Amino acid sequence: MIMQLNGMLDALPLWALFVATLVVALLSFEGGFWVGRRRGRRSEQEQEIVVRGLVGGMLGLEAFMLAFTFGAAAAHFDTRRQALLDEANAIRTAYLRADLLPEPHRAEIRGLLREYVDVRLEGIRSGKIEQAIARSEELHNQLWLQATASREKVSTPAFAVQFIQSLNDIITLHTRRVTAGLEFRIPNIIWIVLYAITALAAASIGYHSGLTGRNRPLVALGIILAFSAVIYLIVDLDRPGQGFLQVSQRALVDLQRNMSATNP
Amino acid sequence: MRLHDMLGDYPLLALFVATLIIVLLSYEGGFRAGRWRSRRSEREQEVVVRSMVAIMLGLLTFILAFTFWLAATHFDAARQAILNEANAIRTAYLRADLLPEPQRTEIRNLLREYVDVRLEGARSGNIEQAIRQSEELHARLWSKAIAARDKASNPILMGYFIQSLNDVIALHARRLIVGREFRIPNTIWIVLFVVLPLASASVGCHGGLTGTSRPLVAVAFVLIISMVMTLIADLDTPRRGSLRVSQQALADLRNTMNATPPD
Repeated sequence: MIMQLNGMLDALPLWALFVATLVVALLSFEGGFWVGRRRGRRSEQEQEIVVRGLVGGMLGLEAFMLAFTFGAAAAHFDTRRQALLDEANAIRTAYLRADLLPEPHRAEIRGLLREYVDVRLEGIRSGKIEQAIARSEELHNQLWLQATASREKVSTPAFAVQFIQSLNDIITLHTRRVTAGLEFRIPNIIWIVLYAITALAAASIGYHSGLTGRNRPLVALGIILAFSAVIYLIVDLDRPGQGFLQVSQRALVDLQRNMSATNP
Repeated sequence: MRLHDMLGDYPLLALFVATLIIVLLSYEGGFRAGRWRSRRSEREQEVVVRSMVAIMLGLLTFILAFTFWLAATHFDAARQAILNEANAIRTAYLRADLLPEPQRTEIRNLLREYVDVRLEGARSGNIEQAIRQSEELHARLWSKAIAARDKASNPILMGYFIQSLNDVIALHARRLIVGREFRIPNTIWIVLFVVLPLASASVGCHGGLTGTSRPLVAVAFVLIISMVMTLIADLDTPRRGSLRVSQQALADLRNTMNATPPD
């Protein structure tokens, strides 16, 4: 149940989802058109004006719901981006503060931190997220052991504290990145409601056009395409690691280069 | 009893059906009133009514959309609070290493118990009991930390652990506030349940004035409104309904704690 809370749509690749949305909306439109044309033939007096007002209201509500869901997805995307930037900064700080520790811990810790950055970047590149998470947590433990071991040898405990603090930051930001990536998603129930609204609104446009004439207006296709495109965009923002919109790993790549430049 | 607690106590399906009935009844009432008016006075101008109906629908849309946004924000705040709490507990657990024995082991066992209490409370829904147990554990953790202080060789390291323990306690209070108070205020619910029948009655009235039969699209309209209302209520009650805040961060933390037993 918990696992199915998000990512109901993840089974489909992005392009298939776009096509599916389009098909659902077009079929609803067609169904509405058919019903509207039959109603239009039977009762002459059904007033188009009333229907027009209702359709306008529904499309307005759908547009707003899409816009706010888009806002939520964009905020989650930003959270992921910010977490990555914070992580790069925390690792850099810890790498620098390792200077405050005595040898051999200093060199050990720096080696571990370099490997940590490699693991993070490789995990995103290869898509093997679970493996990267497991390896990262092993590295946390090894780093922590080094830090506590060096504490006993350090001349000034305040230095050890400084390093431990930045190590805690790294671990905290690891959890934040994992949670932001895997769990800060648009919940399924919102998707269900969005798709239901889209289908109903498309059917209403169809009904309206069926009531007024016998031809399907070309603009209706435009509206359906626009709504499908916005839904596609929201899914793309909401889904980490796929599609056009991906969090840039630039900050970590730069850090990796910096670290290898200062490699003794 | 407050309205949002009342709404939270009903199953969402009941709210959906209730909204559906309210909207349908007010639509029908408006429709009949409009038809009656149009028979009596021929003059009532349809164009004026039309533009007012459009405004009513626009207002309803805005209020629904912003309430949806508010509820979604609260849902995100609840998720964020759990993540922050898991992080604070993990930090305190690690920093317990800086303390002398036997307090180190005792504090670690207490923190493990703390996570269990939190997870169990969320799972069983027995929130009050989980809060009481959590606060007892805070007191015990604190007295252990103070006991360790007297033996600690190093006051800086000590202060450092105390800081993370303070974070754990502060985030407990934050989760309580987010869970109890970050809700859609009563006034908004009341206004929604006033604007909703008014808007659908005016749509119905417009239909009645023009002297048509009831348009089929009205069904779609009623369904959409009821769905959005139900979604808002679902988002607003994170402990009930289909939407529950995931406890995954705490569950992961518990697994990590098991993997690193106290040495």
